[in-house]
Amino acid sequence: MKVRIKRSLGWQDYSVVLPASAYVLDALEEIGKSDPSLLFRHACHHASCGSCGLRLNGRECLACITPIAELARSNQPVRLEPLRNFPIIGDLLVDFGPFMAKLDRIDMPLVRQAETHPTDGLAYTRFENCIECGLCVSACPIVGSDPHYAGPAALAAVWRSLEEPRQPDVPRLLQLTNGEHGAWRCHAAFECTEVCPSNVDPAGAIMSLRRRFMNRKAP
Amino acid sequence: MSPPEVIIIGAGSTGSALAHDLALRGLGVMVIERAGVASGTTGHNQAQLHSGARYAVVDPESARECISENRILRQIMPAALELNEGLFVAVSAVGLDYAPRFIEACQDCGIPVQKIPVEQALRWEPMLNPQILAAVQVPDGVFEPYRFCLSFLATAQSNGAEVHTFNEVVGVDPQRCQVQVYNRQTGKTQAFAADAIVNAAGPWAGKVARLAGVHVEVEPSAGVMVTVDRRVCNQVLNLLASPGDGDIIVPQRNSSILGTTSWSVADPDNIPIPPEHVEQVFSVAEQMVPSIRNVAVRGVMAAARPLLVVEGAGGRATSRGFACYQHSAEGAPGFFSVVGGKTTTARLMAEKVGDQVAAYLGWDRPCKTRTTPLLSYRKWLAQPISQ
Repeated sequence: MKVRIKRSLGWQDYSVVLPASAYVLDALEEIGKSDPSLLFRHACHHASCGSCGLRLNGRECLACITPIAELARSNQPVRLEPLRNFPIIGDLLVDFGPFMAKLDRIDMPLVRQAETHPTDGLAYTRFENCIECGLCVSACPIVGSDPHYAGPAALAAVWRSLEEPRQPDVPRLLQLTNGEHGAWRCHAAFECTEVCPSNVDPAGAIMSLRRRFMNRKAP
Repeated sequence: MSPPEVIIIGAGSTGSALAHDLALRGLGVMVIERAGVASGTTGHNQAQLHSGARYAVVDPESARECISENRILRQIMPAALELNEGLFVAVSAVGLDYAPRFIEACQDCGIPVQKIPVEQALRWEPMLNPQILAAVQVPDGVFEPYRFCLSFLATAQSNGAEVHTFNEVVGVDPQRCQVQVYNRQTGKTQAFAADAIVNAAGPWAGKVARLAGVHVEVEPSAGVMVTVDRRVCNQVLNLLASPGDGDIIVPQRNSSILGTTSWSVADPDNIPIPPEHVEQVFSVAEQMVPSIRNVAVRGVMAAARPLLVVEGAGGRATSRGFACYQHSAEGAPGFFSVVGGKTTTARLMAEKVGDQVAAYLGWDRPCKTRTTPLLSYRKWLAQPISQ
């Protein structure tokens, strides 16, 4: 199988032998054994940590749950590139700092109350669906044009917080997102929702935020 | 006078918790990790925050440690845990017979345990097998292994620890307490020295020990896990029976992790996934959730647990317990190897190893990690990677 990786210094071709059931991450790990200089991040291998996002043949995906065999059937190499709209540390490794800073402003909780509480006494919490992988930010055609744009993940987080208001600062959240760098900056390309591996639907959340702002303004 | 310095090899749950433990004691800490945080066994985790119930009958000591750590983690890292309880369900007469012994063992270990009427369990868990004969609730939960480690490391860093990811230890001089480190980003190899070195490389601990010319026995034992694309249960589901392969379903976010199996592997970097193990995981899981095969598979993974090898009267046996070896007999009193353990009890391991390392260094500040809340994992991610 041929894999072409966009590294810091340019494209590099690799050839790997993998079982039919392999994922893109398996290919990277295999390549890493013979070329330890290749930088990429991974941890959970089941789409929960959100650390292995990249672009595969131009499309955002999580390396850990994307089967590679089907893509490799043709003679063309599989192309892997780092996420867009993130500073690159090296090769496929990107800097999550600015992204985390945006999420931090919103103070999105990682843990939520479960949405369905059965009638007889089971109270439990669960993690948010958003795994903060940044695929939506990479796929968004607007993020690159406005560095101050909150971006799909953060806006989806705001919508979650408004849906389940556990923090007292709802007015601040509305103020943060009802502006030119907030929900109104989105051009409704819906790429974020398309690539989200966790069914968060950031674009839907942005549209819901807009409806909420509109309703508030209505007499 | 500057405090003694400790190099920790590995940023999985053991290394991360230890970095926090030692930094909180005021020691100088440098963590060296060959890839990203939690990129080894800890990351590839079924993510069950154990209540200890699983071990109550077979290993009461581990069970007591689990419930104690479970309570501590709820206090110090609530943001990295899903507090969703656990249900042990009996699907056969064998399971039903096991129930009284199981409940008594849990009570003996101080694990809150409650029998739940079957109808109530089915209301809580609509996808649960309607044929179950009994259900018992315990305070299991779910953690996020990556953010578990990041919380420890973010806090360690705020207390002065240096963390070097994407840096691989390629040589160890255990007598002089030096390591040779290959920086994957710059391509350069550099030497670092400290007053003590702790080998916290999990199933790779044997490999690191070989680099150091000392002996550590650790058995990498692989397990297969299957993640499905739906949250099939609200609580962690366990088969009520003596612990076996594939008998746990862990819900995490909007997916569920089924597992796990167990077989010995020579190289933790090379674990081919046997298809029959995937089948076995499904066949046990469907006893608890009969429709499990109708749910799309999200991914299949394998990881190697670092099993502690115990030489006893009955011969060689392995354990999920842990040990910290000081390699004094091999002329390297400043070189320590941590072997075994599990993520739920990582903080406790770090406390015990920290006590041992601090005693060796003549540093008499006690462990404070039991009561120190951890910083958010975001504090770690919000800064550029260590060079």
